[in-house]
Amino acid sequence: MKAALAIANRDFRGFLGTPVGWIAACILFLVSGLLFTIVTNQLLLRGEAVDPVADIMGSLIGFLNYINIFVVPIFTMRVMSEELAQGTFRLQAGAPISSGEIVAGKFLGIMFYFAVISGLLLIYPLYVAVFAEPDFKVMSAGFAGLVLNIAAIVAIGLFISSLTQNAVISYLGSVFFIILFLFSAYVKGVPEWYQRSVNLLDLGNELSRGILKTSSIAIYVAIVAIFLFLSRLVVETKRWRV
Amino acid sequence: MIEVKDLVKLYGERKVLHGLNFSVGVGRVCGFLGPNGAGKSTTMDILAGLLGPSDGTAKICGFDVVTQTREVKEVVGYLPDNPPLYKEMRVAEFVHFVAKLRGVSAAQRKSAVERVLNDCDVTDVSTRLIGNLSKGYRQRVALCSALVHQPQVLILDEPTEGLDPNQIVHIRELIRKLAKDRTVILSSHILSEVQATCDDVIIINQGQIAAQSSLADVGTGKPSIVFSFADKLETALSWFKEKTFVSKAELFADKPNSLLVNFKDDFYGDARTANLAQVNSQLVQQGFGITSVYEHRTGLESLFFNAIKSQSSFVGGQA
Repeated sequence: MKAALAIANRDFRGFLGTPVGWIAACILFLVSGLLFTIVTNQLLLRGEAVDPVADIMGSLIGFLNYINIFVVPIFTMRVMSEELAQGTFRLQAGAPISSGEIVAGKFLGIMFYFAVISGLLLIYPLYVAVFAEPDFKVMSAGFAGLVLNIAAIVAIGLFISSLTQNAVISYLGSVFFIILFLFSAYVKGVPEWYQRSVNLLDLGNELSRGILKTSSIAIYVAIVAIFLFLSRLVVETKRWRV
Repeated sequence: MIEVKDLVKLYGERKVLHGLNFSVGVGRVCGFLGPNGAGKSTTMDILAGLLGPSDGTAKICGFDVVTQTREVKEVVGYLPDNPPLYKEMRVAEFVHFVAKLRGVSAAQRKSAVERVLNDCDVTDVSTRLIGNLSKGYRQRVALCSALVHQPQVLILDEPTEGLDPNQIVHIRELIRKLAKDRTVILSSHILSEVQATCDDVIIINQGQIAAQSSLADVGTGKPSIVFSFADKLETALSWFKEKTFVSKAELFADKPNSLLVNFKDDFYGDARTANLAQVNSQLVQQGFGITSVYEHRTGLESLFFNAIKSQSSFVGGQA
């Protein structure tokens, strides 16, 4: 576990030591800031009674869940495909640590980064709280949904990125696969449990409305576990081939 | 210590290692020589537990590289040919990270990092970004990361590549120092490098061991002496040919205005220096303008070329 934390810590610093972390942060803050302004203005212009949580934060988090499909794979590409291509993966592959620790480290490193980003995004609910009295319980559920969605995308992205050394294939492949994964819910005839399990955007929206079910959490945990396990398998075989 | 038995590696259909057998004991530095694509890096990857062998066994300190990979990785320090470095990290920070990854305990980490930075002579750049360093510095930082956990077995793939002559000497000394109670394997294309650093040499060509020898044996061959002259080369040649203690004298192809002279057996031995001094003074008395005299050891070079030549013809014969 120590080694996993060492890798996570290094990757996290790596994001801040290279433009990637800052550019992604710029995108997320620019988009969320614009959206926040637009939504707030729109709602105020309409002059109706505004529910600060569902109307403002709900749409903001729902939109961020979308954007993250395109932002998160940048990070998984960096920690897997680029390291495979640049040979730095050998550093971890050659160390006396398990493949599980390597994957866990990479997962946690990206999660640290998004934890910080999500923490900074709390500026919006705080701002809302100045002017209205939002339900913080519902809002926390929405933020939990944001983080859980990111975790699921990171796990899927890590798996796809571990398959290739090519950064472009890794990024496009991850985005494509994640979209396929999410939209496979709409394929005609899929069982209902499947539909519910892969439609992460809907689950995220549910959470942002404050509907917190054990089954939703279980779905996220299962997705993360399955894809981290698959990544571990790929890393294990890669360790014998690099 | 390292024991390799019938090691085979296939890349798909292509066989890159055809059953290697060798062992290297503690306190020995073994040089791995061979042309490009001979299988040096493949063998080293296998020994470091980074590549699975297709057949055969390799043991490091008694641990099998396939079944006890983790233990192998604990005792091995590996410097691959394209050293893995994070360009956005600072030198000390990077070595610290590797130490953590290698399981150096928190209490010892700081001193371990300081020690290797000092040993590899990179203390002066410890706060700089690796991406901004020159090739020689990067190579030494990579060496730091291979040494930080004080491995029992060191596997170095072309450790002095990209270093300036001064640093090469320094790294050689470091390797010799480290080798006292460890096992070291290093690969190189440079014969003089192996000659200067190693105790044993393994010449590998086309995935097979072409020759294997202790350098002490290679080095005891009687050296030829190269004499260079300012002028009167032909006269000097005939002067040498007349002498009874000379077995062979000829023009030296590698250097202009020079003669390659082999002396008879009794010329060597304890009185070698005195004999050589006498030859020199005789030449001076004869009025030859000597510009340089040096010993020319052909041992390793001829071993290398003969091994590779005989094997090429063997493989060619098979095809």
